[in-house]
Formats: sequence, C-alpha cells, structure tokens
Amino acid sequence: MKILVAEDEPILIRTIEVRLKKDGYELCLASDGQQAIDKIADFAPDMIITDIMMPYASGLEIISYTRQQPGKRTPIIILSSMGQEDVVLEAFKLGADDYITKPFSPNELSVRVRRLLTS
Amino acid sequence: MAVMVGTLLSITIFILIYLVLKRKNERKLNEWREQLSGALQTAIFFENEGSTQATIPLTFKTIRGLKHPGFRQLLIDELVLGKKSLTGTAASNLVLLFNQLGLDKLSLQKLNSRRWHIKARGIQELAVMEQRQLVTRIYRLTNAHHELVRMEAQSAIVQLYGFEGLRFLDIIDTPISEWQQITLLRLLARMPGIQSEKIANWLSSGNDSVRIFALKMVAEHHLHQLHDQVIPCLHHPHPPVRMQTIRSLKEIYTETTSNPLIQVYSTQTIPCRLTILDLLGNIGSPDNGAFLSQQLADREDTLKLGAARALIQMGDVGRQYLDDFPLSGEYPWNEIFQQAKTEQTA
Repeated sequence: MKILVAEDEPILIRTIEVRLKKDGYELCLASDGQQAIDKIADFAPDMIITDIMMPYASGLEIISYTRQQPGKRTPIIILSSMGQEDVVLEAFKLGADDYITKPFSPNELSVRVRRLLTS
Repeated sequence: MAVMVGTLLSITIFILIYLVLKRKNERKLNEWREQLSGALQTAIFFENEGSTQATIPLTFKTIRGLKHPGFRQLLIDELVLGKKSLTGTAASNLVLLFNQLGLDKLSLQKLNSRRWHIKARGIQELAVMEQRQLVTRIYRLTNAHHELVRMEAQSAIVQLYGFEGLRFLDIIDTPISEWQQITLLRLLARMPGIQSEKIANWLSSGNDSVRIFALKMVAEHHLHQLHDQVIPCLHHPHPPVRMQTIRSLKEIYTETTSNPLIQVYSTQTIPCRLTILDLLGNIGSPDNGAFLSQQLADREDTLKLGAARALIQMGDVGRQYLDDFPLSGEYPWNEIFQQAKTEQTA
C-alpha cells in the first residue's frame, strides 16, 4: 500500500514516516502542498495524509485536486490543529475521509490508517 | 578614486566573508538537525516496558554534540516542537529525553536572563516539557514587570496546573491583557476542575482585569450558581467591567435578571445600554415590554433600534408594543421598526 504524506513540520513528517514504514507501507513525503500535488499523479497513492496549513498549497487544495481526478477514490486523512473546526468541516465538504487533531499519538495515526484502508 | 575602489573592495570582502560564514553555519545546523532527527526518532519510538529508570540510548556523536551550546539549544527547540505536536508515549518519551539530558537546567538558566525574550523562551520550554518541580520559579514571574514575561508565566502555570494554576489571580496587581485572557480561556477550555467559589472571589477583585476575566469564565462555563454574585458588578465604576457583566449575564440569566438591569439602565454608557436592551430581548419577558417601549422614545436612534429589536424578539406581545407606539408611523420610527422587523425575518 502506498501513502503520500504532506506535512511541513520536519519532526512530524519523520515521525509519521518511521511509524508507517514500520507498518509496512510504502511512503512518499512532501514538505509543502504544491510538492504533494505534483507527486500525486506519479506516485498514485492508495491514501493521502495531509496537514491543512502548508506553504504554496493548503491541505484543502490537495483534497480538491485529488477529488477532481478521475479513477479510484483515494482516502484522505487530514491533520488539523486545535481550533480549526471550521477548516475541518470544509475539508469534509471537499471530500476528506477522516481527521486527526494535533497533538496526536503516532500509534493512533497508525490505527486510523489501517482502519481506513481496510474499510 | 583609490578610496572608492578600496571601500568597494572592503565591502565585497566583508560580504564574501559573511556569506561563507553563513553558509558554514547553515551546513552545521543541517548536519546537527540530521543528527538530532535520529535521536528524536529513537526517543519517540522508545519502549521502556514500564521501567522507571529507563534511559533512551543515544549515539556517541549525539552525546559529543551535546557539549556544544548551539546543539543543546537546537535539541531543546526540536523537543519542544515535537512535544507540542505529539501525545501519548511519544510525548512522554520526549520529556524523558529532556530530563535524561538535564536540559531543564539550561531552560532554567534562561529565567535569570535580563533579556525578556530569553526569559519568556525559558518559561515556555519548561512548561511544554512539563517541569512541574520548577513551578515556584515560574510562579514568581506571573507578576513580572515585563508584560510578555508575565503572560508567558501565567500561561505556563495554567498549562501545568489547569484551573489550580490561576491562583496568581489572587495576587497580581498588573492588568491581564485582552489577548492574555483569550489565551487563558482557551487553555482552560481543555481542562476540568473549574471551581466556582474561587471565581466568586475574583468577581470582587480590586484588579479590574481580574474581575473581567472572572466574568468571562462565568459566561464561558455557564456558571448559573454565580448569578447573584455577578449582579453587583453592574454597579462597578468602570464601564468595561459593567459591559462584561451584562455580556456574562446573557449566558446565565434567570427570571430575576431583568429588574437589576432596568434599575441601572439610565446610568450606563450607550454601548452598555444597547447590550442591556439586547439581553432584555433575549430574556423575552412580557413584563419588560413597558420599559422597552419607553426606550423607543430615546434621543439616540441606535437605542430606539435596540429597543425595537428587543420587543420583536419578545414575539407578538412585543410587536403589539411597536404597533401601539404613538409615533410608529413617523420618521425615523417607521424606518427603524421596519429594519428591526426585516432583521427578524431574515
């Protein structure tokens, strides 16, 4: 299974990478929104995990872009900060499937990813 | 000419040296970051299997790097960032690493600095890394002379001790800024243990900002049991306190709230009066109809509109008051009433 992770905080992206690689997923990392959008076509992920606030393109733009693509529906988990409830609702409207609020536990993320990929 | 060439040459050499040093510094920082990334991941995924004496293993290179103050500070920064973004065992392990390396001493040293921003940084580091044993040192700074140090210390205490941490409200003689009040309320929203008796005490504080903050807590947590202690604040000499009192009453009003509001109405500022009218509209008691109808004759158009809105909120009884108002067909009442009615239907 291939997962694209878009997150601009180095410590978080590295933590997510280590945790999900341990679970056996193939990962593609992007440190900003535009990089993530550019990588979607080539990498063809089975899931996208994206932060909301990122440079160049936001998580919401990644969701919009992904949902406009024809073919299979890629599940999307968003990483949001506390107090971003409105943005989370917007993300769900655009087609996000799940969200995790920062701060979060890497183990929780692992469980959510597995659950979403098997559902 | 020679002087000009010499100056240009000196500037060029200076820029070159600066760029070389900057590049060297950046390279070093990246190298350290790379090194620390490994150490942090080891810590985040460390499994201590219940041992209280657990030690996170570190590479020789990392241990050697710790001798350099810049490296230690970078590690603290990364630990703080990680701790803010992660929860559970991962977050606990970052605190474990902070303690294991004695980095609390470095943060503590910052509290002795004469520069406010270093002091504030130290407080933040200690709070994020849950250094509860140093609470007395931080607590002393909750009434510090510098506003930003004070704010950081107050937030840190609340972060560490929740509502209990607010005991600094008993002693501070400096004002709590609007922004700081929002920060504290946001921190408290995630924490249990609100004690209404304590808030009741702060409602009679001599520090106006403490009183306002207490009123905000009453509203935020819908502390209906403090209704009778909130009412006397309507007589406070300062309008901001009175304004917050009315706003807080909006969240906890009962059938007895109208009378004290009507009694103090004439002594209030226009913004306070408007808020009272709005609150009376919310209360919606037909008993207030006559009072609101009187306010339709006020010289201020904003108050006329406020009274009309309140009457409309009251329903049919209130609308009847508008229709019965002797000047309802004349300007500006006809337009004001129309606006209030349109707003209601919108």
